[in-house]
Amino acid sequence: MTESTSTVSRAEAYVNVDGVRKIYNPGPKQVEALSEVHCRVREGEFVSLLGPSGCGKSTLLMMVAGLETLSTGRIDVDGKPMEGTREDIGLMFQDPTLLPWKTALENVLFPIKILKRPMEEYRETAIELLTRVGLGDFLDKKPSQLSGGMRQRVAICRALVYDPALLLMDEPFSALDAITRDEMNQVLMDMWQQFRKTGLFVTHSIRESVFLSDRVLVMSARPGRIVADVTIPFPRPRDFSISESQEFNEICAYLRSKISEQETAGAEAA
Amino acid sequence: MNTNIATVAELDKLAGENKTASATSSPSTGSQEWTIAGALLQSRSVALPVGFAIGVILLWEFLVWVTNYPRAILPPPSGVLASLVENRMLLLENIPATAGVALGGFLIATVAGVAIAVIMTWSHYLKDAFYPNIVAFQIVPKVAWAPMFVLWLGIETESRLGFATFISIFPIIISMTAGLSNTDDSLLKLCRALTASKWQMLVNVRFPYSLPYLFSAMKISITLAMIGVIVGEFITSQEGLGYVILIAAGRAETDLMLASVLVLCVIGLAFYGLVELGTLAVKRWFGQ
Amino acid sequence: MASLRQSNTWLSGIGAAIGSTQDRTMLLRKMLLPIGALAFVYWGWVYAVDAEIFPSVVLPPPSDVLGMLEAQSGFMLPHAERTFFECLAGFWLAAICGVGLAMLVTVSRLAREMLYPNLVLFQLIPTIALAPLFVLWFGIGTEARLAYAMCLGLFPIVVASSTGLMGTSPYFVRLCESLTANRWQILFRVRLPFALPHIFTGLRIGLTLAIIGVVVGEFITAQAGIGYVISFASSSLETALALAAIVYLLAVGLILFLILMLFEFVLNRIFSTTG
Repeated sequence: MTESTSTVSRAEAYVNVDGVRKIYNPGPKQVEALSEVHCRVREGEFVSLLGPSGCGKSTLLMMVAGLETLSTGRIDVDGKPMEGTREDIGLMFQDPTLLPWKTALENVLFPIKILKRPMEEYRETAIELLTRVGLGDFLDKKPSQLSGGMRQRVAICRALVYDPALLLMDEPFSALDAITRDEMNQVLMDMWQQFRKTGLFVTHSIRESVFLSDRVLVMSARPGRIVADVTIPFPRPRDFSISESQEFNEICAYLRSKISEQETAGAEAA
Repeated sequence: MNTNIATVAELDKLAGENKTASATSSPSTGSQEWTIAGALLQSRSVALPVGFAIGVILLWEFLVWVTNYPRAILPPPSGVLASLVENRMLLLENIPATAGVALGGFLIATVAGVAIAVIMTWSHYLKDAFYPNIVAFQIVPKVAWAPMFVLWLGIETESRLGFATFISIFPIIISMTAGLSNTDDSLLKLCRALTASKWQMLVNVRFPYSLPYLFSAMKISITLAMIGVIVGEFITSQEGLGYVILIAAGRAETDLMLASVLVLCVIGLAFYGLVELGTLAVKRWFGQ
Repeated sequence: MASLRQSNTWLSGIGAAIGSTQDRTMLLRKMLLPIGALAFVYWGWVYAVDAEIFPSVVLPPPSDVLGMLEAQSGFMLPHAERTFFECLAGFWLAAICGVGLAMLVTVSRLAREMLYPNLVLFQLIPTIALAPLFVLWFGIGTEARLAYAMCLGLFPIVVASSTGLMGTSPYFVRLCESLTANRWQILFRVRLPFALPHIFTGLRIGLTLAIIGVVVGEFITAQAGIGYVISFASSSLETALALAAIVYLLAVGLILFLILMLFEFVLNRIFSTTG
């Protein structure tokens, strides 16, 4: 594994996060959520943001999505600075956030409705996506009739149906049980192989981050900074056998040590 | 040992025979309804309250008959029913006045209330300015305003309609605003990430999400509308079942009074039932 | 303080509806805007009177109403007092009977199965319509209004209190039973403290209904009290007086609710379930 902090040049960065800070309640009682975050993501790369709870990784993701404002610094996506939300970004949350009154198919087509694009053009795509994740027989089922894992699969399809260039995922599998989570990792991997988007994935699961990503960025506890940038050397397509390998576990151990380094530093500072 | 097993086997055989026996001798389909009713009655949770209620009614009837209690003060249940039949024309004539105004007030309140809630959700400033005041306004019991409505709108139907609308609009405004505002935050974030406009979020997400809130408020509203109409009729003394109750009280016709209350019960139940049906439909739409 | 928060759950319910505050500017906005809206309404009222949009009978100037409040305070106060005490008494009766009945229903399975469904069903009777009946039975005095207010407030209190008392976590109840506690001990030591939020929700509804009962009773019996003043003022086209009477009713309502809130606060302190 290689650790480095800016081997990605500005020119090749699809997502460029430069000196970003986030301060809540400016003034004497201010809370610094993020302090001087620098990171870059190449086009087509899958990068994980790994860190303990409360380190600000979700905040950073929301900023890349254009949903949170920056206190200082700038974020560029596809060469243009982020000033509000954009149509070519896909989003996934820990909660699938499906509309309960719409069927699975209607939920997947929901972005098309919002973006006011013609439904007929995307119907085929939506059905194909749902079939690919194994929900071909559940097109007309409502979310209450689907399990947690199935709902997240619908959410994946929804995030991909309008062909966004960048996919942002905020701990999408954290609420699932361990077995379903592994399944979902595989589903995401397969979809990734197919569609090759740029991806930023927030998680607090070390193994998940190593399995899914090309690079893993480790964040410190609050105030959040990037403290490690680890390239994951496994070739794609990947399957679960790599998680048994020694190299895999060495990388996980390294990442774990980086995180606990931060935790003790944070504890000492507190 | 052998005898034990034999006995058990014999018992099983007997049980099996009994089952088939009862199957073959089962009554025709017509009396299957009786068996369902029988099963229900055997269920404690239905038999006891129903039994208690029937018991009270019978006791009431018996006591009045035995003590010869003046009918003007407490008529027996049979007297109430008799009055119901005897005065059916009078009661029927006055149902539209009461039910119509209550329903009308409720419908206007629903439409106007939803509109106001939408406006307040659209503008943060309007909501922050007016919502706390609306909630605070709830402290004054709306019925206190009833005489003012007579002063403002007279004693005819418009007055009662206005009052019924006034009294039933507030739960709708409060509940609907809460529903529109409390829509799932992640869902709204998702919409914003898709560059959805305020209007799109309102129509596609907030409004459907707040339908359960709306229907639970509608249950309260329809009840309040009935109360408003009745109080209005007490004060304006023109028409309607409230008016009938007032007249009956004046003539000490307690049986007519109670008969009118019975009719009001039925109307109220019917309205409540309609809203409940709507609620169930919404629940089904939500896939529950 | 956890118990303080508990006792102010309904206030915080309103607070939640109003919205959470993040910055100081937000706080200012949340406080100033409602007051601003009131000022706007007041200004609108003054303007409407000046521009003579409505006849002064329909909409008197605010100064008239304030004048009435001052000038007629000698007249109004006894009425207000009477209404206040009738509401208080009616509510008390409803509360005691209601909570008592709820306790009975909780402790006795027979009572619960016989009475509870009927009590829930009784809520469907438009008890408001029975006002003239109470007048027939009790005359036009205080007893009629008290009985009426009590009847109105009783059912929501019983239903809410029963829900609270019966809804105690079965684990707690089983724990007590295994310690050989009897039903009454369980009722008072376990069920009651946990049920306080439900009971007070029911009591708030009951108080509202008791006030309504007294006011409507006063409309019909027309002898004394704020309801009488509103009714009499309206029929004499003394709009300003009627509005002043409503202000008095607001005050009476506020005081009664404050008393209830105080009660809730004290009981929550005694029976604090979170500390």
